Amino acid sequence: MTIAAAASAFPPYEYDQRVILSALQRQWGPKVDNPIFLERLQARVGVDKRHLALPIEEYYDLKTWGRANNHWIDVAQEIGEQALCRALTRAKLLPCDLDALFFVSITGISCPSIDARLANRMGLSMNLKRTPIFGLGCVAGAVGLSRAADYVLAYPNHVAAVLAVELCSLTLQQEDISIANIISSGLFGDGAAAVIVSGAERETAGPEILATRSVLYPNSEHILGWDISEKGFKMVLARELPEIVQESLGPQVDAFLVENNLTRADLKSWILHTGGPRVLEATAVALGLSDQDMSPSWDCLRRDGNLSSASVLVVLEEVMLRRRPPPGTYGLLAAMGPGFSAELVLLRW
Amino acid sequence: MTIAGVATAYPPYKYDQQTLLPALQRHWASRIDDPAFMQRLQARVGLETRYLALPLDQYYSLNTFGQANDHWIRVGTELGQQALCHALSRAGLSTSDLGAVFFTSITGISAPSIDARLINRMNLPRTIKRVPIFGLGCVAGAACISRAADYVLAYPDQVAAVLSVELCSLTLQQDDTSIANMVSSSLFGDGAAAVLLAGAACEAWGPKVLTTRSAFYPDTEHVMGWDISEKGFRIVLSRDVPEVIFQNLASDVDEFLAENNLSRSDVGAWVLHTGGPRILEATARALDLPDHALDVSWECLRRRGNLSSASVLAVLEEFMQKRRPDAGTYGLLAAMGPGFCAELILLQW
Repeated sequence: MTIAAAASAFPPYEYDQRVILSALQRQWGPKVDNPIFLERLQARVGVDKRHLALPIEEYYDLKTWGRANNHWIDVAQEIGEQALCRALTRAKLLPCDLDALFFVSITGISCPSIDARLANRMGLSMNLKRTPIFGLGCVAGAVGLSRAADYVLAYPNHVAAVLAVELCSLTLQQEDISIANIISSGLFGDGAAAVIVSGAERETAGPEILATRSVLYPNSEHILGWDISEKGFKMVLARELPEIVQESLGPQVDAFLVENNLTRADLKSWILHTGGPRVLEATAVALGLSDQDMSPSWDCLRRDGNLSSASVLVVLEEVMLRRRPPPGTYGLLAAMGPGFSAELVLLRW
Repeated sequence: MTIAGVATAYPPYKYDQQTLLPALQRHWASRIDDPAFMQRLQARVGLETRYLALPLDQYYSLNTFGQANDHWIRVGTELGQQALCHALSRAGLSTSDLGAVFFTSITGISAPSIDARLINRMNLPRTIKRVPIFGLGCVAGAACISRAADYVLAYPDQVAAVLSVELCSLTLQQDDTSIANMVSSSLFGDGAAAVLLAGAACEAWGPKVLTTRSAFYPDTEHVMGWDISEKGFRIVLSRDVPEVIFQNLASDVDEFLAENNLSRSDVGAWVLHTGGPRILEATARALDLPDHALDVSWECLRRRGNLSSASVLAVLEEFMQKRRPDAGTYGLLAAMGPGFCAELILLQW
């Protein structure tokens, strides 16, 4: 099983973090006790610029979840199609060559799902196996990759794709001045990423997927997720999240590597979910990683913000296109999400 | 690949159609032009009983999507646990035997997803692979069996669970007096179903899954689905659905069977989604089925209504528990859903 290609796509509206901050300050300024607090929190998220699904002035009119979700359906199809087309082109494949598609998003919902709409728009196979996933949050890009790997393990001559589309800006809760919401409004960005996974009988030049592992941390449901209502998706984000990552990730990674007769010292390439500065710092401590090891994730965070499930796939694209490790290098792709859960994917370049 | 166990679970609130229909009629009486319409509809739909997630009188105070979805999370977790426990005990398996769980629902959403909540409640393996699906609608129960079969094809020594939970009553749109909403409010019921798929290297007793096929009908996005907003999930259900089925199903079924060197006359057990009277009639006509071939589906429809993705699994349970075909009999399990699409599964008892 190999990763034949990865590609991202972003909406055309790109903003400097200072522009977004001043818009949020106009919105929230009168409501927060200390407006400097907004600025301090947002300075700490380590993001320089972000793409937004809509031009920034249109967010003021986004009064209902229905409107936001309708925009999600429109924009998700557009950038989802772009990302998937680009990944297929890089893998030298046509849309009709795809056998299975794992579509993931946590920022909007649709029925028929986006993958069905793309089947019409892109001329995907009429017998495409579609798996639209909602509920895994930030971990879903890595999980989609693992499940696509399972699929081509069953069908070694098939090709599967993972498509993650996250339009986090459309979930912005304009009335919620909780710390969790203020942090997330400074941190999360919009974007899409597609990854093509080929079965063993279709060798490609991309990294090989050797093994995968899902882990759920018991009784940590309350750490991360959505509080869902007619107002849309309200962020649940507990302070102890980085602590959980720091304590649990090391032992989980080690157990996974031991199963594959490896240790952390054997890994030279790290593709890590760009959760935010505190999550990345906790990850580095947990796994004993250097700044150099973490640099693709830090760079993607600065460039695009946290793209939820698409984040780790964008880091994968960055590494595949511009920082490709030498052949034979072992690498780990890892992401975390609600549950609280983690997904680990062992790669060999 | 063997279907090792199937079980359903229902909420404790069971109502006669004679109780439910007058309640709906009272609710809508002032707003519909032709109050006798509901009665004619009832005569046409031909249901006897349905289960509801909540006691009937509680629906009157269900004023927001947030309230309804919170009930969905609570009742969905309970029923999901019951169905999965029951299926495991029927298959003689324990929770620790599960390698993957495919959770599906189109009637509510949650992050963390219900499958994550069940790991904590049921003590499922912490490394179980979770696939929470939203967006496939009524076809999702069958689609999940296919995806679970793909999974155990990749891992023949593992068992995968399909869990479908549908609480259609919680999506009731009290302000919507469209025909589509009146039809769906007289037709859909609540319930959960679990199916266990054992890989070829597991010892299991039940029908074999020989092969599966997803079929997509281009440019039929508009015939079925949800219109999603802050009011919740409003049904989109075109009059054309039976015609789309009638036009397409036979050629898909015939192609699928021919690939497996079979024809319709070789199929002795028809395990079909209980979409509703017009859907079942269109299916019987499309496939030119003998009288009584769909008796089990009709009976499930009468007793519980259309359970969306859980429906076809409830029909499968009925075959497994009470009308098990002779050994060697070929069966076709089929369901349809938004897209518009169909999922076909070839079984052998």
